[in-house]
Amino acid sequence: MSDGPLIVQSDRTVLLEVAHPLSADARHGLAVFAELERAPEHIHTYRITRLGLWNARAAGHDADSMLATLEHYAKFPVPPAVAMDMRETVARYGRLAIDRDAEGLRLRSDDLAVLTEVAGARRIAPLLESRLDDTSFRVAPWARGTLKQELLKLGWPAEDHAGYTPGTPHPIDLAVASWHLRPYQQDAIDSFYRSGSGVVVLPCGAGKTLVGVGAMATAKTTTLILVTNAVSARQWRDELLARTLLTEEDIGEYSGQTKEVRAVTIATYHILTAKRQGEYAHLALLDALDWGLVIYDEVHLLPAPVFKLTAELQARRRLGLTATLVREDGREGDVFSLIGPKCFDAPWRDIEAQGFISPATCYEVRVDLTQSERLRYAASGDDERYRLAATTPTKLEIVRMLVARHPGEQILVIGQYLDQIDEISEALSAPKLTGATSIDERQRLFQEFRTGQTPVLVVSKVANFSVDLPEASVAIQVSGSFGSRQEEAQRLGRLLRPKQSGRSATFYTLVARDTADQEFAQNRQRFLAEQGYGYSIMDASAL
Amino acid sequence: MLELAARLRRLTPPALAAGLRTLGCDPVKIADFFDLAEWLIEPETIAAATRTLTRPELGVLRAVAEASGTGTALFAEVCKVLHVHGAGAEASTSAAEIRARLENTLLLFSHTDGENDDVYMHPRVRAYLQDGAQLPTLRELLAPPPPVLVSSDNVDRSILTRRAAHIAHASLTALAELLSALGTRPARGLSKGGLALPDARRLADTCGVDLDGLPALLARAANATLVAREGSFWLITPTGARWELMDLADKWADLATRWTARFPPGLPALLTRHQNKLSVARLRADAHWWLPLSGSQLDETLDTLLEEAESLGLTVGGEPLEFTQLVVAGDVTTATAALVEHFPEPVDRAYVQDDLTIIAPGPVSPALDVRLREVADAEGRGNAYSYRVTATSLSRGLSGGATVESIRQLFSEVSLTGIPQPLDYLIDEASRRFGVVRVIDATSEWSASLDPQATVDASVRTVIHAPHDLLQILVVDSSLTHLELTLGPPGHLLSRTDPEVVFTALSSARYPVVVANASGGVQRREHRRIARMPPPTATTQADPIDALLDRLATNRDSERTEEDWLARTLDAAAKTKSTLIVTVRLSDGSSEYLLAPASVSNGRLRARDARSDIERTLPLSAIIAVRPTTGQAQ
Repeated sequence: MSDGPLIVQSDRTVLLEVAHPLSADARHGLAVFAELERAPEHIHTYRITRLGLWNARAAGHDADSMLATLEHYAKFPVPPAVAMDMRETVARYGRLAIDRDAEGLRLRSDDLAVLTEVAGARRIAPLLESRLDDTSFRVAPWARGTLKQELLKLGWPAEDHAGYTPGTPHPIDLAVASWHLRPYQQDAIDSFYRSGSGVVVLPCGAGKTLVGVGAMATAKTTTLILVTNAVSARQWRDELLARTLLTEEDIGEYSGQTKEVRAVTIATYHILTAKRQGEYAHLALLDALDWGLVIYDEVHLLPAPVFKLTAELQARRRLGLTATLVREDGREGDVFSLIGPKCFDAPWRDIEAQGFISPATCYEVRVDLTQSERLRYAASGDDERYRLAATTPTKLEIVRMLVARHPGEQILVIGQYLDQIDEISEALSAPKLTGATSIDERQRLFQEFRTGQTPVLVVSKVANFSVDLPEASVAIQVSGSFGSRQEEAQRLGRLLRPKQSGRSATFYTLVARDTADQEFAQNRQRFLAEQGYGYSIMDASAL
Repeated sequence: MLELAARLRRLTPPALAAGLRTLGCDPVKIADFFDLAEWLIEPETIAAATRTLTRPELGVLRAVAEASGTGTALFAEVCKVLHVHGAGAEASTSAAEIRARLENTLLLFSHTDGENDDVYMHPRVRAYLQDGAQLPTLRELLAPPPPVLVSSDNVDRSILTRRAAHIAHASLTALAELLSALGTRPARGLSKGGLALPDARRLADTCGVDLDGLPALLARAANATLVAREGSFWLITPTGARWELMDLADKWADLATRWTARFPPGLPALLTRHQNKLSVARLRADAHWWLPLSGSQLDETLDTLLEEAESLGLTVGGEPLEFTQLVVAGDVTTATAALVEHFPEPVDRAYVQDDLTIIAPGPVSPALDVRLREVADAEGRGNAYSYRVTATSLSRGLSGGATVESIRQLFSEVSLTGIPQPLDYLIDEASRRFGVVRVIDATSEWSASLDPQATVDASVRTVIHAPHDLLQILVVDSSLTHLELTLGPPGHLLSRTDPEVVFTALSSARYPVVVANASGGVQRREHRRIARMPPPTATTQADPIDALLDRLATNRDSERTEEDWLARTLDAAAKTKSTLIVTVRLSDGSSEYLLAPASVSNGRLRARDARSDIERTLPLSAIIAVRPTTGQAQ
């Protein structure tokens, strides 16, 4: 036991004292196998989970080395139950393996008891065709992904040694004259390629797209890129054109508007899951080419049906990109078994310290409703109250004042309700961008905003994801999706791209005092504080 | 039975009381010495009395049974029997000591008179020991204990000690959380046992244990009298409230002392024998060897004690620790010092963070913990403690008597890094809102301060006082319509609903509400409910055993009861077809008859004279004394 910076709790959380001289070393060791849950300024909370341990095991770390990290940096002895649980959990990974012989896929294990147990499981037996010998079963050719999913659910994650199809080779080179990968991006690419498949976790603004681009340049194969929406698809396309020697003819877009299949094809999750007469209408895309690489952007948002489709893509290399492994639907296990284990993770503080993402300060501005608004609010039903509070006209004046506080900066005003967005857009004489805005119009508005031609842009939630607005330094959130923490992170993420101006980012949330708006805001703001952003509460009257 | 009743009658009150307490006698059923004698020779009573007897004690009893073929035996004969069956030279001395202990069980009675030193055992007790109890033979009872197998495991004791300390620390933490949770909100117990599911989930979550582990935790707390069930609810007891404020070392010492107090007889000796390894199976086998008639109750007791030993860190997977022997030997102080040396060092400072959490990088002292819990919600417990400050927790603190200044002072004292702006804002906000809405019981004298012209309907049960703007909002609030609020005197709303219901509704709707007294002042709300347990000195009811002794003493002493005693003796002899020596007063003196009583009625005894084989009818008033014939089978 040392007087170290870590405190290991019996509930599998690990607390890290940030101010401790050894905290940076401890954090690096801990990040290998524990997930960062909260990172306020003084004490960070990590959690040791099964998936975290298996991720670490997949990356080559054993239980002894993980426990050695804890014991080396722990202030108090590691609770014996935690140590025992870690050993048992880690030992479960790799007891089973999926590999390939001349006849096809095999499930193998030297542990007869485990093999017998899983082979007899109700949901696994149908995936196995026959017993080959004491240590192996023949796996149905279509069942590689499903088998991994089911084994994980049973608590016996299998190592996948069955290999990947190389895909159709396609030359993809980086346009290195104009830019270069950051060191951590290169590390992420190398780590991914060594792993075969897996997930790269980087904070918003850290350049996940470029990791994808770099992975493509390493694989040099036909690539399918799956993204969250059409705007994001366009941005991927633009990045590929700017960062590689690929030409427009090499890149196809497969979305609601266009159905191009080329050596590099960018498709939306939406189109992939669109159904016609009860059937997925665009499944053919998955087999349209011999894809050597599939990239999943924002993998924490991957829709459930895509998992099912991905189960059949196990022979292709798969790269997941995300800012967080936490999914609101709790399907982190499916990401692990179908996309792959986490293969790279860089804490945002490290990246911020290197100047690659911008620091941000968050303010919650409390707005008082007028007496008539309060009466109307009180007389309303629960379903109406949030909207009434969130869209109070009083906020409009505050938005004006905040915009005036940041002359010369690029400002996003973000809202949930279209009529509120209309009012603000009109009051500020600023363009608005909502779901109803056409893709071309969105592109134009974003471009004008990037160049500074438009200093203030009023946007709805369509701008939450995968929109690159590097010069935005101020965001004013007037209303949001109730208490969604993910939305808060994404909105703040718009501001984290490093600015050429060197300005730090400012994120305001306007909240109607003593209303449901304030209650929902508490969840979101707590999340921001937990993530370590500077955070203050102020009264609108103090502006 | 006559002999037994007579011997009971001759016992001194303290000796009788000790015996009755040892046996757990229910005095309600006992009216006189005959009732008591009848109860003592019931099979269940004998079984219960012998259940806690050790092998040597049963050996002496068995020897008495063998020696007292006619009911009474010289003690020297008993010692001789012991020798014959293999007892050592010291048997006489130890048998004498054991005899003294056995008298407490009322299974045997000694009578020392000059050179006579005899012991009496009722035939039914003798029969039970010889046939009914399936007792080992006397030689087996006197045999030395089987040897203890010494494990050759090469266990690293330092690892075990650290593990024990961790387990003990975790148990103390979980118990403290349980007490705190029950103090804040009692848990509903089910009539079939266990807790209502919502409460069980709440407690399990708070205490950091599985739902399956909660019953054991609750049982440990109840065994230590830290919690108790009062009606349908489990509450913290006054003992528990005191325990909460002890530091960790005292908490552990207290539980360890309570643990040893519940040992069955002889267990310390057994635990000492198992210094090396204390497996449940071995101890159970040993305990059953030591207490051969103990039955399944002993198993339950052992299970509970061993489970508690594990939770206290006195054993780890059955391995006793160095301090286990100290505790067993009664040196809890030294044991505590040895154990707590391995506990995490307590801290009195913490990180107070932007996200409104307070994280202490170690366990917080109980006194500081209580202060923090008044204004913050406890979140995590373990090697580090964490709390979260919310508007609700601050409001709770303010209504419990804290002030904005005292709250700031507390956070300033505790914080390693000052008070962050969001927390400072929250404190200001909480103080600004606190008590803006006041709920007053309409049955109080609240209306005295109003305009005398103002009249209020007698059906009004609650009055709400708040600023005018807020009253307008309350009246139209859709979530409060069930309160049927109406405008009252200026500055007030009225409701026919109970004040508690109104308070709860306003709290749920997140209005800054407090309960106020008649003059509108904030009423301090007691957030903890403690079980009502009478203090040990308050004896509102007489001890039932003492009351029985009083009854029996009256029986023993009065003349009237002397007649009753005679009648009961003769009646009992009639029922058991026993023969008595009856002394009868005659005009020329007295005479003794050997009589077999047939009945007692109308103040007369009808009996057959065993010597002359004639039936005699004698007035009870003429009978001076009765005594059993030697060796009669009663």
